Amino acid sequence: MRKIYLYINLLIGFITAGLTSCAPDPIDITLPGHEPKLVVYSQVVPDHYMVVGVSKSFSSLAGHGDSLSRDSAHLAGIIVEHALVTIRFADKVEILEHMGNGLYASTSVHQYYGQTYTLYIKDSVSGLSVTSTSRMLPMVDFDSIEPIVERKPGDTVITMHYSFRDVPGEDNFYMINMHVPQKDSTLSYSSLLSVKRKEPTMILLSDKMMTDGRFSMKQKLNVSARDTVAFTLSNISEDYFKFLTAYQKSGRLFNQITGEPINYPTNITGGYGFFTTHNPAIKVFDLNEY
Amino acid sequence: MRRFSAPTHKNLKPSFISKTMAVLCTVLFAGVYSLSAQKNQQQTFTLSGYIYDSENGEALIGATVHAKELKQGTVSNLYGFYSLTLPAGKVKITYSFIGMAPVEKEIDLTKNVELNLRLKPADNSLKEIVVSATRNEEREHVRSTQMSTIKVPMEQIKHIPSLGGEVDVVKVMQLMPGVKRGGEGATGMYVRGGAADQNLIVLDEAIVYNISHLFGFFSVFNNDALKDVTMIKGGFPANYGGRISSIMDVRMKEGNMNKYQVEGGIGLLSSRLTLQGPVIDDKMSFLVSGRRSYIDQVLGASGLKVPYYFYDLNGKLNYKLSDKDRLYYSAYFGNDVLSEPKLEAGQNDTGGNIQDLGLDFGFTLGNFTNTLRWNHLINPKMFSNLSVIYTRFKYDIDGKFGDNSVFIGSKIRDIGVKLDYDYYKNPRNHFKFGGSIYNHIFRPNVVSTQGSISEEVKSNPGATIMTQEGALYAMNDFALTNRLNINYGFRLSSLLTDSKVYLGPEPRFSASYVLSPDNSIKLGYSRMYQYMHLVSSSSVALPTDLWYPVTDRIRPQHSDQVAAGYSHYVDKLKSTFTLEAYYKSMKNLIEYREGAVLILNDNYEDELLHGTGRAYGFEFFMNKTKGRFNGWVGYSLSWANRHFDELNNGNRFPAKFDRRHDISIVGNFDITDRITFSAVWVYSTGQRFTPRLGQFAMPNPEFSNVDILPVYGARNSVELSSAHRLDVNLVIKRKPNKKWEGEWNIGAYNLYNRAQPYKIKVVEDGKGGFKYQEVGLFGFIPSIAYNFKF
Repeated sequence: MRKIYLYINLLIGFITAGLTSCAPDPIDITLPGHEPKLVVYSQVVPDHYMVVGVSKSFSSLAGHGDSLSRDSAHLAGIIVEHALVTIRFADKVEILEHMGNGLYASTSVHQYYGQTYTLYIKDSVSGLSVTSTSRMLPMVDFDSIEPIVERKPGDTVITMHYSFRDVPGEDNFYMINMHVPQKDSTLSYSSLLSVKRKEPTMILLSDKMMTDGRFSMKQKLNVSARDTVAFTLSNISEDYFKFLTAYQKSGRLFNQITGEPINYPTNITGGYGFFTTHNPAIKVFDLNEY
Repeated sequence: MRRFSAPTHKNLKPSFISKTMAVLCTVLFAGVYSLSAQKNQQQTFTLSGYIYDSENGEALIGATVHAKELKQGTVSNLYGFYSLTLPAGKVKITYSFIGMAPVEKEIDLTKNVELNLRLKPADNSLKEIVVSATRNEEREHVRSTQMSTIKVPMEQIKHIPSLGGEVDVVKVMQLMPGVKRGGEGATGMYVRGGAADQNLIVLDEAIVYNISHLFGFFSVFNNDALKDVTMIKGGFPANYGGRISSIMDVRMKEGNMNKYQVEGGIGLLSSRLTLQGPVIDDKMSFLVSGRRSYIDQVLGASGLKVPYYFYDLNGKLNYKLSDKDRLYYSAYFGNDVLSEPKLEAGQNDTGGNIQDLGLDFGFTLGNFTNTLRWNHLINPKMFSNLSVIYTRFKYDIDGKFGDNSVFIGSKIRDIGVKLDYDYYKNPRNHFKFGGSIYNHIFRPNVVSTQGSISEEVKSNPGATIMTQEGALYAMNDFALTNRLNINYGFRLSSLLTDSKVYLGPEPRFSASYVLSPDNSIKLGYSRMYQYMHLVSSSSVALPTDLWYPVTDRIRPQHSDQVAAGYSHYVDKLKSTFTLEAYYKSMKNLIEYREGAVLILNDNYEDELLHGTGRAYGFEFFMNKTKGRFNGWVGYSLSWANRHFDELNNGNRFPAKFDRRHDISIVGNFDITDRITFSAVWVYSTGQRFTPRLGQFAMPNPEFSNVDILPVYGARNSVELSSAHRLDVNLVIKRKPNKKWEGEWNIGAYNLYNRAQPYKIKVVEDGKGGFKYQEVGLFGFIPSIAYNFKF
């Protein structure tokens, strides 16, 4: 009997030891350093101005990725405030004015569909420079767009009905974005658990996905009937479409779990990001009115 | 309407089939020619029969039958059958097998003789004879045309230290040169630069699709139920095919024909029990073996919920229909089960309220294999085996949250027939020929949803994809001269999809030239085709990774491998040394596009890319299977890379497990008759990974937030630090007792607690900054197990 107790105690001891066994000490490793490059993004406000944002890339050792995007001190440290930013088009060269926060803008860059715009940036502090070109594609507007708000006790269903036509001729690519400039912050606990909480805010499509040159959608929105929502439709280049597709994929849960590398395509020579000159068609809706 | 297509995508002329059939016939005719050329000026008779273990009646695979004076010999096949045709007259025959006392018989060959023999376990009093028998076996190995083959006696495996004290045949194979381990503790094997899906693993001829339990930390093979394991890495004989990097042929025990026997073990993580014995004396035997992990029960008793367990069941029936016919039925059934109980509303330990989230999650995944085999002895020279095989692998994932429920399932079912013939025409020619046909039914992505989630994730019954895989082969193991042995063969494989037929001509050749009885040089070439791919992420292998068949768009993988080697037996050390070099090129390999979506995707084919790979290297192996001190040393120096037009900017890149150096040292030392000490030391160059070196900030496309996007270096361009560890095991046996044999196994994994790096983290460096750090999974883990037999 004593032997049995001994064996049981031994077994329990080993199970405990096994389960609480030593975690091995991690090993420090040195990886190749990261050489910073300029990062570019741009936005066209139709018929008004063109804005270019300039920042610098930084090492993975700058901190934990998730918190960095909310670290305003860090973000302030990477924006480029002393750059020469020019856009050449139709034999003209426009110098963009520094607006602060790494933004450079000009109202003198005339917007012509089919026009090629060449961007040149030189950071006077780091000496880094980049170039890029982008062709402005014609604006495509919605044929129709209207929110349908069905108010029922305890369950209001909001659906955006919209459609648009493909530009005939060449291969086309489109981006539809939803923005919620004014959001009701009193979301209920159950809506937090809702599988629809993470509303897709960007839809990418090519003309090959359209039926008879037309795209129609009834998109259910996970917003409050008191929100204001804006929808934009942009005719984008194939390269930008590929960049956005990679961006969309990188956000997917599976890719975040597996950590599969995703390299973002770029049209910036010598840098990262994307210089795009697409003209969005913008529609804004105050859902209170529906 | 199916159209014929070569795997290289060129349409084949109909004459291709007749040409390949002609090649198959040529293989046979070449033998027939050689036979007729040798047709006896002298009368010959055939000595044939089965060789068994006297203790349990199990057929012995690979036992040596040697006529020393005539310098002729053979080995028993997978069912213990041997056949040796010799000149008429008196002849002395030695029968031997590792661990068994050899038997010498004088036979007067005046007619065909049928002799079934039972070998007894070796005894110290027969030491000299055992040594001489060992020499015969090793010399047979040196002479054999078979190269790049690993065969480890199950007894030798038994005491090798292991993670958690769970002896694992797959982990043992990972200690062999040319077989790289995947992540720490994982059962994935990467053979000679190949991928994890390029290994055909068969249990009694049934394909085992998922070889792992507990997310890859343990294999599905219960050591107690196994009799023989052979792995072939190159120089493949024509009777094997279906995967391009290796074949692992696992055979189950047949069941003790002499007496009832109970065997088992109690370990930290699982326990196992095996029962075997005769059903009808000397006619029929059975074996039933079960294993279950009980960490859920042990920890459950202390209030800690670990809702996971795995179990295996192996069964076998063995029936001698007559002296010429034998029937075997074997089955395996095993599952991994995770069942997270629903969280109920209530109060937690601190008195806080727990809201009923209605969360419920579980999965089940496992294999079910069945093999029915009929051995038939057509005549003393010709042996046949007909196998009917059914295999199923499936996984089901269930999830409930609130009013939503999701079910995701995937299933493969195979039904196959395989017919093999062994024809021992004379000691110089051993023919094998046969064929197989499998019907594969894949249902890779069944999705069923209920509740509001069904608006987002649509229910999908999943496409049923059916393919038929067939193969015909013929080969001859031919002793051209006393020194030169060649094995030539041809295999024609095929796959029928809905609208396409792929044909894979697979020439095979290997040769050995005996420099002296203890030295030989070997050469081998083989082409292999593979008609299915494992759809998995390159960074994380999950048990739920999908097997996906070759289709009209997804082409079969194929490889060409050349290997050359030198084999040397050192009688003084009772050790065999092998040095091999190989070069392997692989085509139509599969990788994912960057950012591919693998879950809930019914159209994988759009996410897959075809590419090429090549691997080359050198392997050194020294093996000592006998003596108080036995074990092996393995070393490989290797390179493996890949090329995909759409990955890494079209530049060639190293494969994930391109580990330059790999060393394994395994030793077992019998301190006394009752105490054995075993140790394993492994070293390997760190695995490859794609470093995330930089980052940049970009507003998201809606300009509502800023995202941090990664900048990666070249694919697999950086090596993690080298991995090495020492595992030990001490076996203390009970005093000899006829009825009860028991032994304690006390061991430790990773004795000096070295991290085996598998990933990199960014951590604070203590100086206000950050640094990169590699982390390992398992440190020092003690283990204890008790094994018994009565």
